[in-house]
Amino acid sequence: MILQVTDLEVFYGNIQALHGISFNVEEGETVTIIGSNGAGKSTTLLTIAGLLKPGKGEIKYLGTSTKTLPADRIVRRGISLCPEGRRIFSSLTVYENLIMGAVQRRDRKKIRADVKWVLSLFPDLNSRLDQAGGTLSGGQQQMLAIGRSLMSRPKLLILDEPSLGLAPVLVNQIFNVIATLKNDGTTVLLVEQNARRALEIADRGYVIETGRITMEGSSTFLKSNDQVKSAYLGG
Amino acid sequence: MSSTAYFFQQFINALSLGSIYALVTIGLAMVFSILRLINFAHGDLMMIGSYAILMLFNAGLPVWTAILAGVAISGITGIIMERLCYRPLRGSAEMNTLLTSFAVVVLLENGAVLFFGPNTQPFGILNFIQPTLAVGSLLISKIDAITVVLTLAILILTALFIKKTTLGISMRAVADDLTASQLVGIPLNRVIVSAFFIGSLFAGLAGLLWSARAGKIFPLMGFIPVVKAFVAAVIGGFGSIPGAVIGGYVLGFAEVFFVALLPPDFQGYRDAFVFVLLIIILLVRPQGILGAKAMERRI
Amino acid sequence: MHSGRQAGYTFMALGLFFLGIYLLSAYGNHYYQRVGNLMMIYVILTVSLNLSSGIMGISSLGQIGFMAIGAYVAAILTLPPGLKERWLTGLPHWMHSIQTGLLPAMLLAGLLAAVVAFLVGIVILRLQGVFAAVATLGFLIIVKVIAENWMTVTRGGRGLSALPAYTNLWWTSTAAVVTIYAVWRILKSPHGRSMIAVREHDLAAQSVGINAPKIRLLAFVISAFFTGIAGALWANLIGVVSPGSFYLWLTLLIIIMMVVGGMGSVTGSVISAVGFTILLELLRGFENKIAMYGISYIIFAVVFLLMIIFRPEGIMGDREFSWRNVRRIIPLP
Repeated sequence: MILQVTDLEVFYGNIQALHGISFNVEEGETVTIIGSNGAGKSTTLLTIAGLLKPGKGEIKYLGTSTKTLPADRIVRRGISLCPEGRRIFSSLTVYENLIMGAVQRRDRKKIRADVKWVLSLFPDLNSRLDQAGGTLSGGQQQMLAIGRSLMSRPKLLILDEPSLGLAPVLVNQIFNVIATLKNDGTTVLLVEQNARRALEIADRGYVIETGRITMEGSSTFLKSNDQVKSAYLGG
Repeated sequence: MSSTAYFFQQFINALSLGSIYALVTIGLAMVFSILRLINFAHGDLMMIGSYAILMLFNAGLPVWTAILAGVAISGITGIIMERLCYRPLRGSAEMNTLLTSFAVVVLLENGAVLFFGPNTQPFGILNFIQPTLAVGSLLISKIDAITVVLTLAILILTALFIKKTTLGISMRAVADDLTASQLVGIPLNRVIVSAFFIGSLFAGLAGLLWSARAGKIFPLMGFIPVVKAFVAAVIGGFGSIPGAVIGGYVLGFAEVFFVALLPPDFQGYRDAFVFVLLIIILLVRPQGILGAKAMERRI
Repeated sequence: MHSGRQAGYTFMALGLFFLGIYLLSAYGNHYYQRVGNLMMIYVILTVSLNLSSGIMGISSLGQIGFMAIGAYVAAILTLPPGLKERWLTGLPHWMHSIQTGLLPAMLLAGLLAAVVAFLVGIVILRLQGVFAAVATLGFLIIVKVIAENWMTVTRGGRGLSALPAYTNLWWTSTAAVVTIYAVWRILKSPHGRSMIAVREHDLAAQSVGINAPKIRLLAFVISAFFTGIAGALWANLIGVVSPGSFYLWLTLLIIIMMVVGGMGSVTGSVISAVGFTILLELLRGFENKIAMYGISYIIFAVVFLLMIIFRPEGIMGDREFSWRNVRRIIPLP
């Protein structure tokens, strides 16, 4: 098991955002967490990434606890979170953004090779390497954000709402890349509002509501579940 | 003296003063861009560096060794300051960190009064350098010349560092988006400590140059320069390093020519002029002369 | 609890307070009287800073500039005419022969500080957060530079000395009580609630119709008025005003008093100002004994650092004294 989250509780001040969440991800799997706005998806991911500290519960990555580690150490262990809203470095060039993705690595030659690899996944970025990140279009920024996350060569890639606010054409492109990564054997934890697309690509899924996991199962099961259908798949 | 020669000398003078402001402002801006902290105690690193150099020199160290060691002490003091005073406050309200830095000023300046005494001491360790340099018919202060050249070299190195090295790019990334920079794995503490260290080294060096210019040092010497460096940073658009440099030089020139142009009776008002300038710029062009969006960029 | 009874308690407490002032005035030695006067002045300074910074949320480092203005106004008004003629040649002629008592000096000191605050406030209060802080610090430096250089009105760095010692415990304690009462009333009035609303959320407050710039200016001006009065009391207590007296150390001192007491709490400011005055005197004695001058500043700064790291809300937070709470602990009739 690559990631095991047990009874996770997270507070913002006095307000409890997560009420004991448990789920796991197996090596090589693509797992999705679906849920509506404010259900606690992003909170869960930020806690795994080390930006929020859990009140209770355990996060185990490859068998060891990561809940007390700072964010940069978690990246070094092999978890990479591509955050909601892209959050690329807008004043840095595209190339610098990618280099920052590999900031924990020391193997310069391999980093250069990986830049080429990322550019092969997102050919749109090729001609814009020296452009400031902030000048890119929304879709290009999303590609850059994913590319930047891949530059740490994560064993577990976490994507938070990668298709949010993108035109259908770009959504397809993003999901094609996720499919490629999946076929290459990357483990992916995907959080999406677009539950239909997420369940198409994922092996398994969890449904989260107001800080609790309310349902889990294989994608086929969830897709055919009536409650999921009416709440997340538009009937 | 011809008016051209007078003008030229004032020009060099302004260039030298501007260089010192630029050195101080870089450190202030680096820390601000990352932490949103205005570190008033940054000026006291000038004071600590100068006293350290003087004491080491008086203890018998060769002058260049004393200078290197003194500047290093200033840098280390900056690191200690971050660790003890600012790190525990990370993430707390902007105003709290500002007031804290104000308290650190009082702490350091009174510490200096306690250790070094309240009085002004002569600072003549660079006096062995010939006072003036003749260029044709012009006489240039050698300290000024050294200040300008040395600063220029440092500025070029800094620009390369910020532009090319992983640490330099990391600093810009952290200034851009703190959360994202943690998510990609930038070691935040290392970046912050580096910013403090580099800024403090520059402050120590600026302290040496400032003290050599003034010929004296005293425990409270760092306060006015740091507040002026803030003005310079505002001129340049707060948080941007190139802006800090330009702001430093603009301020140096404004100040020198203000003094040169006004009747002697009004020269005492020089500092008042600088702060009136600050308030006007803050109101009219809060994004600074360079127009960087530094103020809105960070949440 | 019945509000008439609360007022009764308050009057009794005030009676006891002024009885104490009477005893100290009549029987206390000079040193204790002086400490008492300083304590009241610090109370005025801290409570009025709390109005603009704590309650209203203006990040001001320039408050002591208003104290300097008040002190200089009072000094110029109360300076003996002979000295005035000799030192202050820049004053208009008719002022040379005038020497006022403390009350007019105090009121004019407060008024001029308030007028300056109004003019400065229109400009500076458009800035936010750290930028307001540094702009107000710039104001403080400007005031100091003017005091140092305007020789014919302020006598520059030598300062104005031989001021009559008008200030006594009755003046300072009355001024302190008036300040506390005024700030308290403002805090409990609709204006006070508007101030807190603007501090907590500027835009939201404006969207419900609060004129945020106006309310900020109001707090700033009233705060400066009382601070100017404190300056006047200070000038005629110490007998000397000079530019260096009203600068960074005093600025930090009252900020420490306010933060430790609790930003937003009048009660906290009073408690803290009283406590720190005593601490300051104890430390001064200690300092003289061990001949390490400046150690009290260092201790104050360290206290402040520890406080802001471990208990940033201060002693009182934004809570206030009430008889109801006292009654819970001590059984009052």
